[in-house]
Amino acid sequence: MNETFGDAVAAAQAGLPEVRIELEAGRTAYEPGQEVRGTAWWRLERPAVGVALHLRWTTAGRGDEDSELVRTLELPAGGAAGRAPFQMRLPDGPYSFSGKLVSLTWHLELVAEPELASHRVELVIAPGGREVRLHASP
Amino acid sequence: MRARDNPFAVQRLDRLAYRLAGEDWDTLLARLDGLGRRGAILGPEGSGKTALLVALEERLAARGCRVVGLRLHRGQRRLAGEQRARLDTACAPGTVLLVDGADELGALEWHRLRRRSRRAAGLVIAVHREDLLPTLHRCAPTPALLAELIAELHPPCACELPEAEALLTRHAGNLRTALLELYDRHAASPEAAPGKD
Repeated sequence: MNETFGDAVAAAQAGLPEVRIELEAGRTAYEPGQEVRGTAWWRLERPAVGVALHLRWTTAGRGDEDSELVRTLELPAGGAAGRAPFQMRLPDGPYSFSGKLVSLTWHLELVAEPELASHRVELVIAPGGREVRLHASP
Repeated sequence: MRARDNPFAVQRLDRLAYRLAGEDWDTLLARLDGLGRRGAILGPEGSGKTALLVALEERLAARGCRVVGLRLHRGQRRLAGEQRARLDTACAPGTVLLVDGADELGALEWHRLRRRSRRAAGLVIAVHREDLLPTLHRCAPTPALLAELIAELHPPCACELPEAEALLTRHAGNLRTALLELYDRHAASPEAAPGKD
């Protein structure tokens, strides 16, 4: 018990757990169907048993949230710390968009088990890499 | 303003923590134990019953209970197949069943659920009616609470009590639709003009 408590304190002092997605050139805006590349890395208190990258969209606004998990990429997990380059083909749609009533946003989320540490970054997936604005002037 | 940036977006409302008025959690949980862990959360539409169920789930889990939740939609007279399966898993010692909207069920279905839940460690329902289970807590929206929620969601919109009272009155005590009126105001604000947000 004391040993576990001591481990937890040491981990907290070391800033653990920590997981991060680093996108190639820091790029977050993409055309539909393009490929996103980057590196996932993690530092956990215990050896990772699973590291996965999830791509999903969610809605926000005046109505209830809607969400769909579109892709999952399992990454090779090994040890308490690690890094894995990844590439993922983005879907053709739906486009990232925003209006007054609803917005749709895409996210890449990295989840490392067993600690369920996660990090997510927002992506824009739309023609020209620009969020579609429903109420914008043509 | 983009919907995602609106401070009164539903997703932000859903993340508001329930505020217990006039008592603390230990008192509420002791009362639940005193009721044999079978009780009802009462309140009108939009008064925070679901938020309280969510908060209660966390508190019960922290006490080591396994918690299974069922949410019924408006007009749902019977449990769906998947909900029946979840009910079966919930009817076990050590498990507390939380049912949001139990008064939507038909009388026969409610009696079935209540009978089956006897094997569970507890049953808490969120309803509008008083006659299903003994009252555990009454959600009572007040202008002060509405003002507090507004200030938390968007400090620049913080308002005085009379304004909160007028807003709550316009919405017949429904906190949720009152906050959605503020959503609409923001969506229609000058910043939302084309090309300006």
